Amino acid sequence: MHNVEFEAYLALLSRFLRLTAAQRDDIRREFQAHLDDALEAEMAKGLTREQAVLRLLEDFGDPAELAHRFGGGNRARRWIMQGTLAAACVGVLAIGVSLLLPAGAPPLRAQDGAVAVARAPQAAVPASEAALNAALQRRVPEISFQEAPLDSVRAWVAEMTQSNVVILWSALEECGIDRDRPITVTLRDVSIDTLLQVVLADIRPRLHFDYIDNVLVIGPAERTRLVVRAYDVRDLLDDSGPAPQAAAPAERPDEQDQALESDTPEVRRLLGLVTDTVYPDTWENNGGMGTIRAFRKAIVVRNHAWVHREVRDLLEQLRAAGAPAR
Amino acid sequence: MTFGRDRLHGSLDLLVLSNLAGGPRYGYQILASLRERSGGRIILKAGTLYPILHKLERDKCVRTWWDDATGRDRKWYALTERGRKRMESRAREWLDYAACVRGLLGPLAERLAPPSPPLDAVGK
Repeated sequence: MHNVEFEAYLALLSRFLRLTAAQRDDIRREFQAHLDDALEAEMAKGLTREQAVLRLLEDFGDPAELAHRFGGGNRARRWIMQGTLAAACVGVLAIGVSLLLPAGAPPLRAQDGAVAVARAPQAAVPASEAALNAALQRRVPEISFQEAPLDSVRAWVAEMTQSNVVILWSALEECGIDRDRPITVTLRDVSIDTLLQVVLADIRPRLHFDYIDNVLVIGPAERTRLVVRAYDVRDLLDDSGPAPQAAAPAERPDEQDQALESDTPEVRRLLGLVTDTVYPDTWENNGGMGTIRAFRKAIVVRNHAWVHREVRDLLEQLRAAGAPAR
Repeated sequence: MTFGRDRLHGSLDLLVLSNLAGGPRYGYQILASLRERSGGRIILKAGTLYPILHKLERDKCVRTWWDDATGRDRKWYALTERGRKRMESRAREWLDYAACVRGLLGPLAERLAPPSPPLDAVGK
């Protein structure tokens, strides 16, 4: 039998099984024989091949759960992918395929014409962060956590993005967040990024994630670092004179002197737009620690990584809208 | 009526071991045999059976080999001496438990229970 569905299922199962290559091959070979036998029997009952494959995949159950029963999975992992039969099969397929993509595969959002075309030179982001970001943009057809602890969400994200994901447990304890707090959420056709945002947004105090080298760190807002990034915004300003190449991570400039150079009403409007709309509480004019300054045709932002993400989004949207900030 | 997962939970390895007492079998055959011999009341899923078989293998209660003489490359399972001992101790435990529950149910058991199957049915 050479079914793509089954191949994808086995690929996924192999991913979850923490066994030696020989053990994995053994299981794979045995399942192949079982499916061949079972498929014959099911088709003899009058099912179409497609129906039979779906039924048999259901018989094997969720690959993560099965891997767990084999003793290869993490005991804390209690998440499941579920849905209708067909959706489950498609889900397995899509995820199986996505696991084969190289780590730097472009996020699906980049294929959205308007946004992708309008994308202009942006803040340069460290390669490890860009790779993590791309991995987070991968979409899953369906993901469901039923009363799972935060750590199983962490394990799932780490597995799906093939990256290091760490939770600052001591900081969470200081905030009074129970590490066994059950998380229940079911989402369809979402990016891993969205799933993570949704889960973290439901915890009080609100948790965020930050990137340190190749590690995604989850913790309360005040425990995530402030990082400096410079954004090239010359295309968002009317006067398209020469602008420096964006460079980041950048040294914090001497804002007092250099900002004056582009301290025009238009620049001030853009800065105001950012601080008024993106996490307003995090900026210094609102008692936060974040700063934003203009330097020629770039803006230099010092704030949390999760604020930078929103700043980047906002600038992209302004580009997509095709208009200077007014 | 089929038995639910909860009812089967404590006796799954006993069912699998006793099924192998009749001779070597492969996974699909064990499922089919349990279903048939229970009159369709014990239906294990593949996702339940294989982890049990692999656990029994790790515990050296079964030995395994690959053979394609039946026209398909299959992994065969056979009971070891240790497996036979485990089967007997589990069977004893299970029968003891069933008798105890039956005793506790008292007159209710007399009124509702079907006659017990002969003990020599185990392993056939």
